[in-house]
Amino acid sequence: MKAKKIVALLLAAAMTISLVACGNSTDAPASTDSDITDVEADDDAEVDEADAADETDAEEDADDYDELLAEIIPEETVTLDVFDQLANYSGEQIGWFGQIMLEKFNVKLNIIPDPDGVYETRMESGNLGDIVIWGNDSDEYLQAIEKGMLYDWNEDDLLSEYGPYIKENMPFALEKNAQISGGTTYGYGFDVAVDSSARQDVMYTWDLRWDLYKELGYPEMKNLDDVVSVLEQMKEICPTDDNGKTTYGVSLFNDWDGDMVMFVKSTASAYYGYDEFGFGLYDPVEQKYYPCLEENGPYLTCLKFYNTLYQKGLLDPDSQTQKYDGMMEDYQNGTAFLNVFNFLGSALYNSESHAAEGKAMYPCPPADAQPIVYGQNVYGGNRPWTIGAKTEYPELCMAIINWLATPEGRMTMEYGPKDVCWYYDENGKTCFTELGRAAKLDITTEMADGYSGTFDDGGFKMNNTSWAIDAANPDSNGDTYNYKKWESFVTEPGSEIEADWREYTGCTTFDSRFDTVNYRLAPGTMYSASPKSDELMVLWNQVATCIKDNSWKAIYANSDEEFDKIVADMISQAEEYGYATCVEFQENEAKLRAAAEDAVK
Amino acid sequence: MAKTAQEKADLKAERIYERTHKKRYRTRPGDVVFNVLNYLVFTLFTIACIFPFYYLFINTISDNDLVIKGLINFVPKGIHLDNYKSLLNVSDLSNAFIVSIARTFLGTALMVAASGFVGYLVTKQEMWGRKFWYRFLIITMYFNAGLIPWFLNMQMLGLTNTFWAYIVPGIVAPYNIILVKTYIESIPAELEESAEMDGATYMTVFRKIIWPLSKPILATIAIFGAVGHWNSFTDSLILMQSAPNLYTLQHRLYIYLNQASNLSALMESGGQVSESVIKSALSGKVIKYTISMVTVIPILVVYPFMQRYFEKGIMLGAVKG
Repeated sequence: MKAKKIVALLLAAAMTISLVACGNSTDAPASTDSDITDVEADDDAEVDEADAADETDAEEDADDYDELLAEIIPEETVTLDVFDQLANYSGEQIGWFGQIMLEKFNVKLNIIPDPDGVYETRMESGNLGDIVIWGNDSDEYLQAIEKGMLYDWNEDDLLSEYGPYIKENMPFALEKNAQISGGTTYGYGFDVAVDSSARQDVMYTWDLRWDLYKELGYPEMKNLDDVVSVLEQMKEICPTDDNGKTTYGVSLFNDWDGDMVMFVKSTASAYYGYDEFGFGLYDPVEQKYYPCLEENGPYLTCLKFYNTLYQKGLLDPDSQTQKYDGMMEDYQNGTAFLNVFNFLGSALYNSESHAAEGKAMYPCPPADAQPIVYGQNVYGGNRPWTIGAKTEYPELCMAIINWLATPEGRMTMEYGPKDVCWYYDENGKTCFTELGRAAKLDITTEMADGYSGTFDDGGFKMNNTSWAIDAANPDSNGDTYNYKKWESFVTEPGSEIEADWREYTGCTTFDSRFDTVNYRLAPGTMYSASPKSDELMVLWNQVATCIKDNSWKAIYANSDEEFDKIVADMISQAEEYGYATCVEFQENEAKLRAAAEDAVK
Repeated sequence: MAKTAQEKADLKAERIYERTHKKRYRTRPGDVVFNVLNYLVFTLFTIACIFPFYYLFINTISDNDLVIKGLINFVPKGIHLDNYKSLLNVSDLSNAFIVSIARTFLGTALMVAASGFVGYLVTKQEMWGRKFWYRFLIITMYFNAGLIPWFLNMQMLGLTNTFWAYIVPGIVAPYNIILVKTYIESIPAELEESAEMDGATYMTVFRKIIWPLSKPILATIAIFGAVGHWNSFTDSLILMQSAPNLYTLQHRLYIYLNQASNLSALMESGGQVSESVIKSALSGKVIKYTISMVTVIPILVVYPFMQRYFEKGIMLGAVKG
């Protein structure tokens, strides 16, 4: 036993030494260069000469950078470990993206996802990987910084030398990272925007079966009650789906329930325009927080909406037990008529065969709905790109992350190699090549021009982004990275039913439908949720379970009395579990969020 | 040879007994009900056990469009084998298949050999420090260091990202050693003694007497070992992080099966997910089914193969007098 103890002590000592050894002592403040101007500003009146001078400078810089790059690109192919909490894939990055990495940097990427236990073992082993991509910038990320597992981007001028594009164009994202990381920059978050007043695409589109809506004569839908009655009428005229099974108004699933039932709170976001915020919803316009168990509050109102649907036989009774796959089948087969999300409604139902039959789902929000729309965030999101402290190739990793942040890199990760899948035409407009368009519509399209495998095989497996998809692409002539908004992609209606929708709404794209809707904009801010203490976490989880379980029970209540009783029980139970403490915490968070919003206004 | 009158009478009595008893047996309605219920319950139970496999199987050979729409429930439609053929083309899967097969064969063979030998060794009273070594082995069954110390240990031993991480730690399996030891102890000691009297050494006794007689228990632990190796995936997940070419089939299956839930975690944490990521993760229902099938079938084959070693009564009459 003594011997064992000694060995254990030695091991612990060795571990401590190794951890101390990887810590770094540079506490250089974040480089918030005051001379960096907003990238966007260059639209304004600037003299041609200055432009020309800038261009020459830029060309020289680019040449310098290429020379610098040539020095660090290894002669023999190197495999870089990418520890990626967002990855859905494991193993070597293959296909076209793998080939691009090989051509540009002579590296292979080994993608390591993060199932249970992997993060912990990598932390203990002292090496997270060469490139490290985080699912969020809270606990695990901060722990890694504390233990010196991440490479300081200011050390040896790594960022300014090898990440010039990031340094120049993402000052706010770098500033945010420095702020959350204790003063030094270790990376930057995803989905960075160039313009803080621009908005993202609408996610809560209220996709409804347009063919049935048309058949009903476009009845007026003002509020949630009208939605119920429209769904009721739809079921009357379309009692069975493609496979002859009974139809419903909506079909739900519970995989994505977090603190509340996901569909209920999302419906509140889609109708009232309030954002999910701990146990409750937050109004980004009035800066008000609505606890979820507030009587007649947004959450309970939407809960009642789903219960009404259930009582009228308009909610798929499998909703609580089925998984994502089950719900997906329901929308693919036309078993359900309405979904508040675009990616769960039209994206699943609208196929060529349905279009040929004159059937489709299109956005059709009730008149009173004010769906929430997220503003673009110049500070970036909460999924940082970082570099592991133990990497042998910090410069190379930085160069790769830098390239991914350039417009070409951003376009490539989304649409494939330049000039093979997409190009800028003579007017600088972004266009798909035939292959690019085919690959966008069907990811199993075989690649060409020297790239092997299907588009999907070689797809960008890191799953993180640099610029937001709706951010402006400075290399193009006024386009964003979002293909749906390129002039070259906006097309003639593909089917009669689409033509009908366009004619009725006067819109050409799903997103433009919301230009006329009174949506609520949640601006992108530097706010990120404060950590919860262990005690609070215990209460929090108990309350969450109580709210989710009882909410589902309430959805399945057979009468209004039963619904009221279940809700009353839920409130009293949640209070016993410590709901009030959680709400108090969240109210304080609301103040922090409001302050962060005021800062960007 | 003519039968004696006594024998004839016995035979007759026997037949009469059989006839009368059989008749009476058949006529008892309670038994019929019992049998019907019995068959019914067990048939249902069997169906409940087999149906998931059957369901998976018919979904892998049916028309993919119908499968995605969830229309294949009992009868396969539009039968084809394209899914299995396409799996062969997915290089990481065929590679994982080879790794799984290799670790199962090699790992099981070495484990059985070691368990047989160590099991025999610890039955010998004259073994040096027998009690200590035996307890030293057994104690590992009661304590588990946990994931991280295990990982660190393997890393210090230089076993991470090598194929040997699958094989070496599994060679000495205390539970199997106990089984073998107990079994060997049940073999009559006289067999060994007689061999020793003929001048056989320990090795000869082990090779010629103990090994062949222990086949049933060795076959049993071989099944345990093979199933364990085939199904094991934590080692692949934790130890092979930088060696994707050494992933096992189970690990690959895990990755495919978790795509949808990973995606949900992404969506939940906010931020938009690229459309192609969604499509890529969700188009794979049939692939998931097919990989599940490919993962299950080989190990099912092991059982009938091992069946022939379960010989009974081999030692009946080995020691007489």
